[in-house]
Amino acid sequence: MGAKVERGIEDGPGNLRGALSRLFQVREMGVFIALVVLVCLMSFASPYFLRPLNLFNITRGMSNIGIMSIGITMVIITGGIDLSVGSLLAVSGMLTARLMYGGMMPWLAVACGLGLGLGFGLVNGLIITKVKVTPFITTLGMLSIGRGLSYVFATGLQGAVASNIPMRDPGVNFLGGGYIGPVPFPVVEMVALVLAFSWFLGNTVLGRQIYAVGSNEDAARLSGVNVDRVKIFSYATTGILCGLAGIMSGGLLSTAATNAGEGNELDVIAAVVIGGTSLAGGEGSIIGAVIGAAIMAVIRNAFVMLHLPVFLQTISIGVVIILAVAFDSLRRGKRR
Amino acid sequence: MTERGDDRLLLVKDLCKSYGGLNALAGVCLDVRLGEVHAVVGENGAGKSTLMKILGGAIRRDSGTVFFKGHEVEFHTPHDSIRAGISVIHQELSVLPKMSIIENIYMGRMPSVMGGVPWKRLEKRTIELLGQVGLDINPHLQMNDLSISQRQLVEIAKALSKDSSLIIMDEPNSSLSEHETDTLFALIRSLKERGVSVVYVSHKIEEVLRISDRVTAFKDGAYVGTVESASATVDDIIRMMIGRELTREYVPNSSHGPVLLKVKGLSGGGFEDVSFELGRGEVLCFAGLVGAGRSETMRALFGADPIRAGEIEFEGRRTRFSSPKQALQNGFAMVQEDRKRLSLFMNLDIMANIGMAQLPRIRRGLAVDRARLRELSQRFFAALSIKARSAYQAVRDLSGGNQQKVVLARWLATNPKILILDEPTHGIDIGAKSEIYDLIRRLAGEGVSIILISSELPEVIAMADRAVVMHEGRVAATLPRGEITEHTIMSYATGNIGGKPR
Amino acid sequence: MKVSRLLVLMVALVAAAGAVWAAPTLPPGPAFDSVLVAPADEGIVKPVAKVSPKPLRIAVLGLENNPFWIPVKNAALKAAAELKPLNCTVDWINAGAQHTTDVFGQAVEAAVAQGYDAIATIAGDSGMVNYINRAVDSGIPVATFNSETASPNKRLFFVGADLYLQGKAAGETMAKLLGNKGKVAIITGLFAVESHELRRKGFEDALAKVAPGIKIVGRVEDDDKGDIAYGQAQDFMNANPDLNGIFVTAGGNFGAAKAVQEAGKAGKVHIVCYDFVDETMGYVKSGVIDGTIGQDPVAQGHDPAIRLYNYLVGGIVPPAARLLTRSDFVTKANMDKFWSPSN
Repeated sequence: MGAKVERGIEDGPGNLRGALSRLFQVREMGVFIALVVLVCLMSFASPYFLRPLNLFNITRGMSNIGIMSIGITMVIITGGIDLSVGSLLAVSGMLTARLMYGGMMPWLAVACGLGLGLGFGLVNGLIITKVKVTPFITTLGMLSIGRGLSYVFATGLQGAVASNIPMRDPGVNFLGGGYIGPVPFPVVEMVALVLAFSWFLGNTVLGRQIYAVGSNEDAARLSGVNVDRVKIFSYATTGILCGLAGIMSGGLLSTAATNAGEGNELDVIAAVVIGGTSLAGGEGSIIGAVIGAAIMAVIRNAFVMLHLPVFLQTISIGVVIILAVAFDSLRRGKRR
Repeated sequence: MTERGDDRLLLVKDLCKSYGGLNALAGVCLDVRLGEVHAVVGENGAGKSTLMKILGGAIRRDSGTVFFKGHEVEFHTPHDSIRAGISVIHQELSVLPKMSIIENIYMGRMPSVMGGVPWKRLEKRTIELLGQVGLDINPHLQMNDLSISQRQLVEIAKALSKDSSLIIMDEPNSSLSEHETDTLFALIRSLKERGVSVVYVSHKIEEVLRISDRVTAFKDGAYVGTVESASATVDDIIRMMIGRELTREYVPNSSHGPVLLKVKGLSGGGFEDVSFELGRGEVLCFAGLVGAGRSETMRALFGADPIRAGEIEFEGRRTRFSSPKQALQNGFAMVQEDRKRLSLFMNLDIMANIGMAQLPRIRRGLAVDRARLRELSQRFFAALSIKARSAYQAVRDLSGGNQQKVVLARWLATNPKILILDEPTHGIDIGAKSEIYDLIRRLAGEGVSIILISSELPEVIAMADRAVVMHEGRVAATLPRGEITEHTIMSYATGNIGGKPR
Repeated sequence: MKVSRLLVLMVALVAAAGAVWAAPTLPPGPAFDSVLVAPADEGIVKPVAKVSPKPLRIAVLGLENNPFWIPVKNAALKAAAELKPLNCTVDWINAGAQHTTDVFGQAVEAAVAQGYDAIATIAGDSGMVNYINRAVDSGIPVATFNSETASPNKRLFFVGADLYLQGKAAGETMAKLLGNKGKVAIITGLFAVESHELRRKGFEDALAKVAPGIKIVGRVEDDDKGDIAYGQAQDFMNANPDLNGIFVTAGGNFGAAKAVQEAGKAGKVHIVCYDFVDETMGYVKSGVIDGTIGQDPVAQGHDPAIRLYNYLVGGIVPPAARLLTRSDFVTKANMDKFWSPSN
C-alpha cells in the first residue's frame, strides 16, 4: 500500500483492501459484531439454528426487506424518507400478476411491474424536488395511493371484492422462491444487489453526490451538483427495487396479495437505522442496513426456535432499534 | 469607454436585483483586469454578497450586463459559472460536513473511470493542493473534524483545483488568524503571478490595502467608486463605504472597579493552567491565534464544557458552574463565536430570538407573556438599532451584523454582570462593528465586566483595558494597557517570547 | 335574540321528530345472549309475503379487503334482489379497510344520518357498543354479522360464527388427526384482533381437554400475510423436526401450506385452518391442508337484511339473538359441495 496516510485513518478506497475497509467502517462493524454475537448465542441455544437450511430460510425471509432497504438507504442518505415502499411492493406485484393472469407474456408483465415501481419512484422524486412537498408527506400520500391502486388492480374499479391473484409462471416463481442448489434465489439476488449498490455508493460520482446532497444540500448545489437529479434518482431506484420485491413476494407463494408489504416501511426504516444510517442524512451504508435487517430476522427466528413468547419479540426489536442508535450516538460523542 | 477592454476579464454594468420589492443591487458596476487582485468593500447590505452570488450562478440578475472573457454571459446554475472559469468561495462556509476533504474539493466535478471514481489520483492531487494552501493534513479526514480556519483553507484549495481564471473570495480571512492570513496572502500573490484574477471581498481595510491592486466600494446596492490601492488610505476607503470617519482608538475606561472574578489554574479540554482576574466594569481581551484555547477556556468557565482542575472565585465565593443555565442564573452571559450554529434560531423571528433566554422569566402561568416579550425585544431592537423590517422578521433574512446584534440583545436582556464575547465582530461590516464597540464601551461604563475574545489585533488594541495572550492552551502573558501593541501581542501569541514551551 | 329563536327551533324539531318516531311500535327483541346454532333456514330465510306500505331502505355495512368477503357481498346482493319487489332497497356499503370501530362507527353514523330504516353491520370490537346503542335509541334497528362485541349492546340479533366454538372444533379435529399426541404450532393473524384470539383460545382449550399429550411449540402472528406464514412454518419445522401440525387462525394459511409442501411434509405436518378462499382450497384439493372450517359467508351476507325486513314489516322477532352459523369442516373428500373455483 503506497498511500501517504497520516493519523492511522483507514485506508482510502481504490483497491480491494481499501474497498473492504470502506465497506466495514467502524459504524457497520459495531452492528456486525452485534449480529455475530446474536448468532453465536443462538447456535448455543438451539441445535437447529446453524443448520444451512435454517440460515437460508432466515436470509430468504429477509431478502425483500434487504432489497428495499438498499433504496431507502440512499433516500435517507440524501436526507429524505420513503414511507411508500410497502405499497409500491404491493402495487407492482399486483400489476404483474394481473397482466400475467390476463395472458401477457410473463417477462413482459414483470417488466411492466418493475416499470410501475420505477414510475411511482419517479413521481415521488418529482413531487419532492419540483413541487417541493416534503418527502414525508409525499410518500405518506403515495403509501395510500399505492395500496389503493393495488386493490384496483386486483379487482377493477367497480370491482367485486378485493382478491388475491394467482401468479403461477415458473420463471416468476423461481425469481421469488427458487433455489440454486441449496441457496434460495432471492438470497442470491439480494447479495448481488447489495454488493453492486455498495460499490455504486462508494465509488461512483453519482454515489458520492448522494452523500453530498444529504451532507449539505446548499453546499452541494453550489459545488455544481444537480441536487434534484440526485434525489429523483434515489427515489426512482427505491421504486424499482420495491417493484422487484413485489414480484418476488408474489412469485414466492404463486399469489399476489393485496396486503403484501403492509407495514414493511417501518421494518425497512428500522433496518436502515439499526445499520447506522442517520435520519438526518449525509451518512450511512447499505451493508449496515442489510446487517440491520439480518439482526431483526435472526431475532424473529430465535423466538420460533426457542419457543419464546412472541410478545417479547416485538419488544426486543424495539429495544434493538434504540440500543443501536444509542450506541452510535455514544460513539459519536466520544469523537467530539 | 469601450465595453470590451482587452485587459478586462470581467465587466459588470448596471446590475440590478431585487427581492420582494427590496433592492439588493441598484446599478452596480465592477471591472476586473487579468491577473489583478481587486478588492470589493462595502457595509452590510451594500450588495457585495448579492453580486458574488450572481457571478457564482447561485441567483439570477434582474437586469444589467455581465461580460466575462469578452463575451456576454448569464449563469443559470453554479455549474455554468464553474464551467466558465469562475470559482466562488462563499462567505458562509458551504462545506459538506460529513464528507472527506477529497470529496469536498471534487464534488460536482468528480472524474469517472469505467464508472468508478479514481480515488488514488484524486488523493494525490488533493495532497498537492493542500500543500499549496499550507495544510498538512490527511485528505481523508471529514470536514467535521477540521477547525473553521482549516475548512476555509480547504475551500480555497477547492477553488485552486478548478484552474479558474477568476476566483472570488467572499470574506476569506474572517476566521483566519494573522498567521493564516499571511499564508493566504502569499497564496493570492502566487495566483496573481499565474495570471489568475482575484476578487477579494472583505471588511478588513488594512488588509485589503495590503493585498489588492484596486478597491471598489459599494454603498446601499450602488457603485461608489474605484481607487488604486497604492494611493489610498484606510480613511479614504472608510469614507467611501460609510461616508464618515470611524474612531478606532482606545477610549480610556475610568470605571474600573474591584476584582469580580478570579480564575486560578483552570484546566480542561484544550487549555492548561489558565489564571486571570477580571474587575468590575473592565474590558479584558483574550488575544492569540485561532486554536490557542481561548474559546475552550471560556466555554468551560461558562459551564458548557467540563473543567478538569482549577478554581473560580466569583464575587468572593468559590464557584463552578455545571451548566450554562447555572452560569446564566449567576449573572454570566456568553456570545458564542459560531453564531449560526450555536446561537441563532434561524427560522424564528427576531423577537423570539431575543426573548429565548428570558422566556422562563416572562411568563404568565404556563403561557409566555407576549406583551412583555414584545416590549423586551422592542427595547433592544431600538437600543442596538437592529436593521430589519420589524421584530417579526426571521433572523435568517438579516445580515451578519444584524444577526450578531440579535444575539447580543438576547444576552443583554439577561442583565449580565459578566459578558463573554467570543469574536463578536467576526464577519460583520465596519458600521456594525463600530456600533458594537460603542456598545461594549457603554456596557463597561455601566459596570458590566467584559471578556472579549478577539483574533483581530486592531480590535484588541482599540478595546482592551488589559489583555491576556494565550498560546497553545496556556497563558503566555497578561499585558497591562501600556504594553498592548501589535508587536507584543504577536510575539507572545506565536510563542516567540514568554510562552512556556511544551 | 338569536338564542331564543334557536331554542324554539330546537323544540319544534324535537317535537316533530318525536311524532315521527312514535309512530311504529315494534316488538322487543330476543334476550342478548340467547343462542341458536345453525337455524334451519340459515342462508335461505324467506322474506314475509307482505309489501312494505312505505319504501324501506336497509344498509349492510361490510368489508371488501380480502377474498372472504366475495360470497358475503354476493349474498347481500341476493337479499337485495329478493326484497326489491317488496318496496325495500338493500345497499351493500363497503365501510373501509378494516373491521375496527374507527371505520364502522363512522359508517353506522353515516347510515343513520342518511335515514336508513335498518342497519346491518360488522362489530369488530367493543367500541362499537356506543354507536350501535345510539342508532337503536334513535329508532333504527341494528343487526350485527360476522363478528360482534363481547359486551352487551342493543342490537336485535347477530348472524355469524361463534369464533370460540370454531377454535374448539379445530382443536378437536387436530387432536383426531394426530391421534392425541405430538407437537403443534399456532400461526395466528394478529394478537390484537379479538376474533383471532377467540379461535386460538378455543383451539388451545380443546387440546388441553381432549388431548393433553399434544404439545404447543409456539404461537406467532403472521399479520394475515402468506409470505410471513411461509417463513414461520419453515422456522417451526426446522426447530421441531418432529412437528405434527400447524393451526392457522386467520389469513395467510396458504403460505404455511406452501412451506409444508416444499419441505415434502404434506400428510406428516397436518394443517387446519379457516375459510374457503381460492388459494386455501387449492391446497385442500392437493391434500396439503387437511381441512378448513367454514363460517357460512352466505348466511352472513343474506340473512341480516331479510330478518331486519321481517322485523320491520312483519313484526317477526328472530328465533334467538345469536344465530350461529354452521362450522362445516371441509376436506378434500367433501370440498365440491362447498366450493367451486371462482377463477
